[in-house]
Amino acid sequence: MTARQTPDLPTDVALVAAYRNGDQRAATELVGRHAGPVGRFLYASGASPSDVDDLVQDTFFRAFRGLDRWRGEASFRSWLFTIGGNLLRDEFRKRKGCQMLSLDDRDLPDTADPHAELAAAEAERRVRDGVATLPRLQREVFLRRAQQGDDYEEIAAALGTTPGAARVHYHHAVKRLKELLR
Amino acid sequence: MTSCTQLSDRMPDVAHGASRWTETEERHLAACADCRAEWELVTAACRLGAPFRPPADPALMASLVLERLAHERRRARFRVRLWPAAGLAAAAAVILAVWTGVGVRPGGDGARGTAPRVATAPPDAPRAELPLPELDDLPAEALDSILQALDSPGARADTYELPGLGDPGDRELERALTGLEG
Repeated sequence: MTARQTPDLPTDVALVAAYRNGDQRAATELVGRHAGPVGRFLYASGASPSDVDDLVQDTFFRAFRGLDRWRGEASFRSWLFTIGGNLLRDEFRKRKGCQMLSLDDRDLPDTADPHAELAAAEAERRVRDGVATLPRLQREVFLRRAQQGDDYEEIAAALGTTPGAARVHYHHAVKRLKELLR
Repeated sequence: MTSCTQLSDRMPDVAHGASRWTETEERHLAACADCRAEWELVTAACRLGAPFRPPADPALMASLVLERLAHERRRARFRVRLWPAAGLAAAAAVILAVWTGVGVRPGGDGARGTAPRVATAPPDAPRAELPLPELDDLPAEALDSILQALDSPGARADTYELPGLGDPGDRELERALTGLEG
C-alpha cells in the first residue's frame, strides 16, 4: 500500500522540491500529511504517549535539516519512520530502556460497544508489549508491514535490505509475536 | 507455498483495506486456528496507535520546526563569523601588547613601557576650530584687537564683507565670468 497520494495532490517529491525553493506551505503540507502516521509508528514502537508529539516534531526537524540525504529510494514517509525510529532508539538508550505505558494512559474514543473496545484495547496492549520485545529490524519490518501497510519493496528500500529479506524478517516477527501472545 | 503462508502475506493488505479475502481464503481462515490468531495479531497491529491523530494545526508544528531550523542556522552562521572575529581580536591584543611593550624609552627608568602619549586638549580649552593660518601667525595683541573690533557696537558689518559688485574691479571680474560662461 504505497500509493498514498491521489493524483490531485502534489507528491511528496514535489512538496520537498517546493520547500527547498523556499515554499514554507509545502513544509506545512508535509507535516499535515505525515505527522499522524509517524506518531502512530512511534507509539507502536514503544514511545510513551506523552513523548510522541515531541518526537514527531524532532523527526520533522531532523528531516528538514537533512533533506539532502533523502534520495527518494524509499518514500518520504518511510524515511521519516527511519529518522523517528533512530530518535526513539536514542531516547531508549538515554533512559536505559523503554517504559511501556498501558493503554489506560491515553484517551480512547467513545464507542457503542465498550466491552468490544476494551477487548480490542487489551489486544493492542499485548501486541504493543510483544512488539517492544522484538529485535529492532524485525520490529520495524513488522510495524511497517502490519501497522502502516507498506509493501516489502518499500520496506526494503527504507531499511537498506532486499524485499525477500524483509519478508523473512516479517514472518520471524509474526512467529515470535504469536508465541508471545498465545 | 502453503495456504497459511499465502494468507499471512496478504493479511496486512486486507487489514488496511487494500485487498479483500477470496472465498477460498475465507474458508481457510475459518478452518485454521493458527491463521485466525495471526489475523487477530495483524488487525490489532493495524489499529495500534489509532487514537493518535495528525496535529490539529500542522501549520503551527511546521512553523515551530522551521523556526528551530532557522535558529540553528543563525547559530551556525554566528559561529562561522565568530572565529575570524575572535582571531582578529586576538591579533589586535597581541599587536597592542607588542606596541605597548616597545614603548620603553631607551634612556628611561627601565619600567615597562607606558602607553604612548596622545595629544589631548586640556579640559577647559576652547573647542578646536579649523586653524586659520593668517590668524595663527598673528601675535596675541593683534588677535585681541581684532576681537575687540568685532565686539564693539560701532563695528561696521561691511568692514569684513566682500566689497559689492559696484566696484570697478568687480565689474571686470563679472565680465570675465560672463565671457567664460559664454
